[in-house]
Amino acid sequence: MSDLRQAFFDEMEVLAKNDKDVIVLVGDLGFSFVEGYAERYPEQFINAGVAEQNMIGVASGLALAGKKPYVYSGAIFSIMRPYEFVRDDVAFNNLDVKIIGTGASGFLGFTHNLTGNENEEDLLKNLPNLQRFYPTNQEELEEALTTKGCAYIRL
Amino acid sequence: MDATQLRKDILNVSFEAGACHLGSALSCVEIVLDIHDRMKDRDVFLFAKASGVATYYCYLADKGLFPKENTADYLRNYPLPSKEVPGVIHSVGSMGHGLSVAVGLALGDRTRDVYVLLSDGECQEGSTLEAVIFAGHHKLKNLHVFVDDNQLQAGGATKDILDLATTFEFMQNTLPNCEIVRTVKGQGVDFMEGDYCWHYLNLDENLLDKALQQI
Repeated sequence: MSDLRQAFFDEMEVLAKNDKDVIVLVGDLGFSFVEGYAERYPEQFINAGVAEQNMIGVASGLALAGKKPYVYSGAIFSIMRPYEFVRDDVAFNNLDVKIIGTGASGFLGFTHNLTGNENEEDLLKNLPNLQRFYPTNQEELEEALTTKGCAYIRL
Repeated sequence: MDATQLRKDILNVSFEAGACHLGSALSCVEIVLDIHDRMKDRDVFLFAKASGVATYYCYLADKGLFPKENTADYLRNYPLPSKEVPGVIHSVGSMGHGLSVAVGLALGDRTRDVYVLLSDGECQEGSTLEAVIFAGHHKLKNLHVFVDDNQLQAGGATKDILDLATTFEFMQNTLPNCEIVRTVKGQGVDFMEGDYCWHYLNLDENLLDKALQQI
């Protein structure tokens, strides 16, 4: 099958077309995958820039206003950097925010990471409300993206 | 509700609940009342500064969101803004979250106004400044940011810890609507005014009487 990152943006086009409340936020990432979606759904797309805490907070506010935000970035930028926002604003407040992370612990391939065992699962597993998905194909990805409530989805 | 009654309620409820953050609660009384005077039906408010939420709970009780006699229990159980308390729309704990959430609220529905109250201390948080850049870029004219500039944070004078003069300039130049409101921490009670220790101290019965006599 094709790259799950492309499958994600393809599926988001379907969701965005059918529901004007769907909004994709990216943290200045997605090169070579995001362009089609961004061009066809400019009103439902935000590049939130290199400001990941704010991106998760804004997504929470959008959900409070009745929107359906999907936040896309590298796992280290969508979970680890803004972790307290994921915990407090998304999980504790139980808001309908989907957080998508790519690359997991391998992201950026830090050369000093000799153990390679820290990952977003460790950070998320004890949080309330937040569902976690690790899709391996299109069908599993679609199921994760259309689940009710807050969720983390690793691509 | 007037400021005098709100200050009395804050003191009584904080004593009953054994709650601290009195200095922070008393400094934002006029701002909370002013914001609610301006709000129209569909508008929303976030008490982002977290510390001093007794002010907001007492205001909500006075507005009839819940019985006044429940206020102390709410403050005891939820000493920081919690959506378990009727009228509160989002729970806040750490500083620096509220402005981002308010920005999302304003972006998600531009047909209503969003009011948010920040502390001066939380303008030291990088996340607050991220939210300012974002709100400015997206020209969120329906976002109204108020800062309770009481000039004292938990550990002392803000100007001695991380001075915010240029940060406030940046915020006012970048946000469509931003009011930095100069206030007095512990306003209305002489032994609290200007003393940063009243961020954390509690009232006892004697001090409560002494404080109430001055309001």
